[in-house]
Amino acid sequence: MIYQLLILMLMPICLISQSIISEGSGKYKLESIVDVEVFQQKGCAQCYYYLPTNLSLAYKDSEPEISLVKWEAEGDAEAGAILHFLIKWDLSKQQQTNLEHKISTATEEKAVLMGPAAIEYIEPDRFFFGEDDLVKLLNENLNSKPPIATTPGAKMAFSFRFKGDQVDQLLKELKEIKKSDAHINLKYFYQVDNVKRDLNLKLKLKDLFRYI
Amino acid sequence: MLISLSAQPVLLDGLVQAEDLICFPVHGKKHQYKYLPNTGGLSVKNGTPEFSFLQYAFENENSAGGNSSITKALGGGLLHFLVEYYTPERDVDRAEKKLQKMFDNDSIQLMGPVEITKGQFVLVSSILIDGEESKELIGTGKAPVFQNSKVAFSFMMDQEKSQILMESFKMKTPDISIMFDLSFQALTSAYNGKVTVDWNMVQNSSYSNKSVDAIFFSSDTEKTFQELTQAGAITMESYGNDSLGGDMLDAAYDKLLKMMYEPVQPDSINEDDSKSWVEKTFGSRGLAGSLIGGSNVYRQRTIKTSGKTTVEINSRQFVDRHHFVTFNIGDLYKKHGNDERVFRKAALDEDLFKQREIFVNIDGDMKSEFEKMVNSVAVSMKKKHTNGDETVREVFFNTANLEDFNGPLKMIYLNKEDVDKEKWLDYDYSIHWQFKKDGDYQTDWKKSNAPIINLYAPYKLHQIDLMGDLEKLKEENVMAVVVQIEYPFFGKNKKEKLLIKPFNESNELVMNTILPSEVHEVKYTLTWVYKDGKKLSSSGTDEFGILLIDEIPEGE
Repeated sequence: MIYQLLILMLMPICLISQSIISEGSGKYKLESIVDVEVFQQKGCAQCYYYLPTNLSLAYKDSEPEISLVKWEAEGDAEAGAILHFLIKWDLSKQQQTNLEHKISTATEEKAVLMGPAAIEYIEPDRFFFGEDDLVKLLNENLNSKPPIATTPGAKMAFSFRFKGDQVDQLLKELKEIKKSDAHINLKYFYQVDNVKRDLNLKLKLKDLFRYI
Repeated sequence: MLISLSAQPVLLDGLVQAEDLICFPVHGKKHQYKYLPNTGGLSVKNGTPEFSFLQYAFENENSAGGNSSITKALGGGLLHFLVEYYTPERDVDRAEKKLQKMFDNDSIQLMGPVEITKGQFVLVSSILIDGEESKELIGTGKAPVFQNSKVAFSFMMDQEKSQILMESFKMKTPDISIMFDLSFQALTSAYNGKVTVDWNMVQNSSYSNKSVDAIFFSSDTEKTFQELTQAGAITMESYGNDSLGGDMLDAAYDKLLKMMYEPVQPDSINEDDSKSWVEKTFGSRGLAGSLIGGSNVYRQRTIKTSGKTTVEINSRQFVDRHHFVTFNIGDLYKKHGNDERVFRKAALDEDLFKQREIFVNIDGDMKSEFEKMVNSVAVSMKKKHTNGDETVREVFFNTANLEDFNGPLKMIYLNKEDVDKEKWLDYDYSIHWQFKKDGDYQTDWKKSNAPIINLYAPYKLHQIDLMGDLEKLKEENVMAVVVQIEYPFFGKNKKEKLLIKPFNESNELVMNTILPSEVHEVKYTLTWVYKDGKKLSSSGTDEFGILLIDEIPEGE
């Protein structure tokens, strides 16, 4: 079989090595809140990979991994605050089982969920997006840029230090977080049918900071 | 194909999430899988985390007192911990069973962890990592490539940071997270095909009309390949069931690029081209901008003008992948806050580092004494320690160095197993005076526990008033009264004499003398000399400073 090099040649070199195809793909909703898209593995009609989803605050021993320590000004030392949290994307075992059932029900065939679709991240120049002042505050005070997780369950840790007036500003913004549209956005790409597609994982900050 | 692993590589295409592990099939080994380490945490030894946080304080001798008697001591914090990444055996067992169930094959085995080719840790903490320099020096570093190997961290911090960190440790998620960035290599999916370039057709295309010095960017090369493909100058075949796409296209693109272009180093580009190159490569933000989405720069290669070139691209290839194991140091304080092996606050009152300072203060009047009587004075101190050692110290004053004296001098001794703090304060001292004319005087060793030895002259002025009725002496024809006193003076017997003449109009009736401090009386002899040469004497001891010169003893 002879093919000509077509427009696909214009793809930048990317070495995602996982053959998933659009045929048999589907979108499902888990627990009414988690939207997940699945793709069949090429050559295996039963095998499905899910598109990374459910970017959320990480938990350890059933406790959300987020903390805010703040202190008042005293003597020469100015007021300050340290914010630290960990996030991750994945599907829980329960969600994976549910997803398998949903796929089986929808396709009337046995479905095996193999794992996440292979993705590559796009290096971000910032993590926080939105119109609120909180976004600027977080982007400017992020202590170091964490590596972007490409495997499920791998956590990304963020640490921020706020000084002086920034502390009051942060507390004010957190009080009004319910109205905020601010969010974390992680950008990835993946390939389906050998075509590159973008993937954005979002986490609303109001879902993150409600634990503080 | 680049093969750099001696162990059996894993196949990237076969990724499977089995329970809590990400697994890959092993290339060439049916039913064998390897997994990525999934857990990170503090190392644990004998049930205790290998972690310690010491907050210490010691006396601040230079504290600014202000209005409060409670001032700020010196001190800080010392944090030390060991971390590692690993895969719990329980997770491996569960994952293996899950794989067997997924593929309905009981012979599937999990062979061990995927070989990590490079490890790096990233410390995420705003308290410990403060400033760009800190980020570079201690924020990142090499991590072991084998799981269960430990990485040690140690931080010394000031009081403020230690207090903030202590408060942070009381939270469920303290401000210390560690990310292990683990690189591994895996094989891409197999493909099998070939790329053919028809150079005759290429020769007739726009590609051959470009100057040999022209600069090309990634977008230019892609456009050229597209044109040559559409013109039939480049063809690609795939064999068997492999479709043309994905990795095979990537590989084909790579082969074509190597055949038809050569990379150019930016510094070899002339100035005009360089400007364009910078803009095209990095965008309008220039070199300071992000490299993401950047482009490479090429020149055309000298190529064939006829015939065909075929390159086989029938291979797998290795790709590098990253896996992160991230963990927060966790709720340590709640679990171990009362364990002094883990969290400890210490006021550093260690006797070993204590010293006793004995100040020698010199009285202001001593300066004049040095001018009159004293040549030098040495103060010696000796301290007998519990461990048998003896510390001897000495300070010395003379006329020359007294000029520069502007405060107390001190003698210091350490604590040498002097467990009894009160006894540690005890010492002996002796003062050695050198007088200008009258020899020297060394005091006995005296016991003291005072922090100051005040240095006073070892002598005192003693005035003796000579009282009596001179008219009476005249009536009794006493021509003169000789007053002689005698007293001990630092090892010597000192004598002084005064002559009183009643018939003179004026007489000195006071004797000023200097007595050693511990001498309180003088021996005296009064001798009355009559006009006829007769002499009468009277001797005694006086401690009150009064001698009666008109109480003439009865004559013989």
